Amino acid sequence: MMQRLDTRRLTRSFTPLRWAAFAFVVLVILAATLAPWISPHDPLAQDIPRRFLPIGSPDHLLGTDEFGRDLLSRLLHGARVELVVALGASLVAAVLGITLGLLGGYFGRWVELLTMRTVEVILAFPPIVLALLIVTIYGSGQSTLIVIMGLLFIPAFARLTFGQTLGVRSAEYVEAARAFAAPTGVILARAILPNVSGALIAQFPITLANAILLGSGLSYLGLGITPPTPSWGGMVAAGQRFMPVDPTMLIISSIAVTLTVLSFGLLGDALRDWLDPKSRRRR
Amino acid sequence: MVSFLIRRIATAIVLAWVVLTLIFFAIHTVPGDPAYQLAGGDSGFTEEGLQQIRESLGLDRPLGEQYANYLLGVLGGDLGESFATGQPVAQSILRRLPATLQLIAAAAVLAIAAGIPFGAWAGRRRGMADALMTSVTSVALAVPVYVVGALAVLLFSVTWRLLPAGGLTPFAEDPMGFLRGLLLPAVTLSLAFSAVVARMTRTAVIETSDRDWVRTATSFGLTRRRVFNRYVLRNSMNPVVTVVGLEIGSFLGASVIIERVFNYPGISTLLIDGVSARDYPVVQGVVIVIAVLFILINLVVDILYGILDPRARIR
Amino acid sequence: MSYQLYGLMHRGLMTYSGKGEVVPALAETVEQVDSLTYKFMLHDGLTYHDGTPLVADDVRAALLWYADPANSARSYPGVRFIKDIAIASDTEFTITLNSVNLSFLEYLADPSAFIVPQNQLSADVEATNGAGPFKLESWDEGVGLVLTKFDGFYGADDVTLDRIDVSFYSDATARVNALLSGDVDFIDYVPWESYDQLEASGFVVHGEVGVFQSAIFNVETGPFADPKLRLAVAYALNRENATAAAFFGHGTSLFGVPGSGPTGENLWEYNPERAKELLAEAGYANGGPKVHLLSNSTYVFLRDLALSVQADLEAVGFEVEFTSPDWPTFTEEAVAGKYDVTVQGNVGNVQDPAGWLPRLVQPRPEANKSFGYSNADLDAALAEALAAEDAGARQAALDRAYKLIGEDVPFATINQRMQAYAYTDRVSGFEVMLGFTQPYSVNNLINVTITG
Repeated sequence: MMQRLDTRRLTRSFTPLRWAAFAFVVLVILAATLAPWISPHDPLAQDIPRRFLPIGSPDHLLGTDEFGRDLLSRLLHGARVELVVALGASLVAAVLGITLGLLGGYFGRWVELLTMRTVEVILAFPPIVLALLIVTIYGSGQSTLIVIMGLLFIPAFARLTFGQTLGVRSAEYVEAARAFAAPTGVILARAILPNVSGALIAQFPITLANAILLGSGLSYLGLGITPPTPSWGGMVAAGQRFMPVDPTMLIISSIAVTLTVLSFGLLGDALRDWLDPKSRRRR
Repeated sequence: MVSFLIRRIATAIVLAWVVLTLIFFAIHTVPGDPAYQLAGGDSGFTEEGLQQIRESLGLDRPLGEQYANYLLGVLGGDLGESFATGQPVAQSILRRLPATLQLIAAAAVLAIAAGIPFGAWAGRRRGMADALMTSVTSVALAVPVYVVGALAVLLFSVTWRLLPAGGLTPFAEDPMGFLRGLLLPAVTLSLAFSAVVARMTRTAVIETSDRDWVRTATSFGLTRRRVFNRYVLRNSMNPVVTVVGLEIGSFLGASVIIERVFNYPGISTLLIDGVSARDYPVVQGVVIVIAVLFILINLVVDILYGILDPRARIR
Repeated sequence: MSYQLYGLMHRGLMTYSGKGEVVPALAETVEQVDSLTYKFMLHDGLTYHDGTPLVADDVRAALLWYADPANSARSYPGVRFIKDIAIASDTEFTITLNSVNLSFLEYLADPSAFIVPQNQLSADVEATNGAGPFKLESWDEGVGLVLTKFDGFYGADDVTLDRIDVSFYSDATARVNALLSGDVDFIDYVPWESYDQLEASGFVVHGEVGVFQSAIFNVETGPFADPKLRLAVAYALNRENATAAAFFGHGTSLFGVPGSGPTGENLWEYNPERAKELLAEAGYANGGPKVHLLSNSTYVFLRDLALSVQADLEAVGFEVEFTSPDWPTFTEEAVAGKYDVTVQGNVGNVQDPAGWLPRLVQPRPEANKSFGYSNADLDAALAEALAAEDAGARQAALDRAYKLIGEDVPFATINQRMQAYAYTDRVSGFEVMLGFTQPYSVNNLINVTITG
């Protein structure tokens, strides 16, 4: 029942570009995890007389920002903040979305109506508009962002799980489990979930990428992570403000966001080709 | 078919009502009492002054009563009056909505014009073309829209002074000025949109090409090119139309950032201003209009799909 | 609509012009008969934009409306001194005050103290029919408006512009880009980080310092109920850093009451050692106390100032918790005193400290003054200065007030920010007003010429 991990398909799914993306993802995760130990400075320590130092300054490898804070340290700690938020949001979305999709797909009828209409209500709000609303209600900050984006990304998981569950709910092994009177929870968890998990695993990095993109967009609008906490979105916004004076901050943070989103997206593509061969042609 | 239509429309109405209710109660629990935004002047924020403002806005009444009044108003097309300006919200929205719709429409047209040929080309050639398309669209989807927008303004407006940095002249006043104002925001918005369309087209083309009838048609001696343009492409358009329809909705959201970057006089600017003034009627009105638009688009796409593909009517 | 636009569309009896001088406007002449009585004569044949005549009765109705506290008018603190308006003819009337007020004519020059037809005197109506130099041609709310020259304006001969197209740009970068790309000829509120860029690109950047920023406190509950700790803050603030961080150096440090002369301007200094001593005297020799610094996310310069203040406070031993909700939430929390310290901008509505200081130190709920602050001695000194008819007695009372402010620290001033306008080299004849009148400089657009 478990999918065999076919090594030939693995090598075909991972092109050199995708390996590079994978390597970058690992690098970002390492930077985020180790930020407190590898950062040369405290990311909050101000040194206003030495602000806007250029790249390559002694003691400040990537220069300093408008408060004279070390940009490299802020970039590393920013990665940590972005990843924690994106990961938290993706986990919330995955757990809730998969549950809704499984229930709706397996039981059908009114359960399907209830779960899939919930998903439609979420879809009826354009993401940023919903985020704007929630941020004004609960104020900005990491936990608010995790909740908002967790809600926003439910539909992707719910619809995917729902569609795949529909496809396997009448499969022989599910019928067999039912014939043996296995409890519904066991059927869902043991018989159905493993057979739909390939596509879901591939969806995860894609959701992460979207979460980083949306989260930084919210910080750009001033609705995301609250300063002085370093975040990439906030660095882009500040970078844009000070672009005429010192474009470094804008360039560094834009590249960081773009490369990370791109890498997670490519990793998702690779995982999908590897684990969900049915969709190999669909992309 | 009729019962399918009725079911779909009924669902859409219920959905719109749920959205409206959620928004109403959400916005009324937001901290930041609107009375504080209207108070001030030298009399300061005295409790009597604040209470007087609340009374004049009807905010002192029970929430249930306010909700019932609002719902009745909405049914009659009345979205209330702005706290800040006293203008009817429906009017303000109608004045701003065209600009946003023009932006979305222009972006959709650009996305179709760029995305379908690109995707079809990749799907037909496969190999290197396919790899190129995948990489290009991956990047287009990964660059944040505010970075693209800021870059576009920096190059085309500030450095080369070719296009305005923001704003929009109404079409009736100056058609050329209107197009010049629309160009940068629309292209910026269409970048990610084109990538989605291109990817969808590619997938649809590949799936259609692998069908038996395509092989049959080729074996009848029709040229590959003719088969592709005549049959494959046309039969691939169904899912592409669906994607365009669905994505238009999500690009309504992306336009929030675009409107900010380009100081574009659309509905999102109204929303952001409304939120920062705690102008409940404006925020409710805009969010509801956006949500209803989205639901309508979904409804149309669903119905179109139901007409094109009878199997879809079942659910 | 903002008071900048009022200045173009409307007129009161007096107005600000040039570098901020108070000059007669709708009033052709004003004569102070005695310390309490002013005699006004309106220009002949004044009309509103729609052609209806403007008469003395309209003036009385408008001023009395502004004097009603229920209407929360900006000019209320000045016009509330009015005891009586006696009308002699359609163009002549006399205003009698309850008590002496040196700034009375200044209050009448405030752009919001304009005269409009009586049917527009309402909080629910946006007054658009005025008697100012420009009339409203079209208005697209939140987007922009078009103003055209009003030929019936009393000074129409001196108005050089025929038409002004106003566009609203809430985002500062978008505003600068609009000027750089040639979309507009003139912008106000130039973001500080863009001064150099604009000048390097051949634009004129012209500004003056006016609005001032200060740290204000919750003096009712929490550590800052102790004046020693407020004084510690006044000594802890590194004003130079704050101005560099928030205003790119475009501002001046403040160590006292702005515009108050030598006795009021040098109340404190930057001296972290003294701040530490004061903390120790207050019982915090080994660090602490923990304070909540409230700021907002909407006005970036206030947030940046607050971040600089945070670093200064931490440097002398405070433990600081920083929050920055959006403006509406911030206002509500500030009015309710849900903070220990915050940073706010203020401007005097008149030049006389005895006229504008009371607003910042009297116990009245407001977002831009210390929560719960009251000091009867200070109030008495300021009231005495306001009512004094003799210059020496007035200065003595003011000096007493400044001394009290220095010791009791109802606010710890940080800096006065420059606010600039930028325009293409085709624009000439624009003057920026000085000090607290700086925000009204847009008035001077009526004398601007644009070539090419």
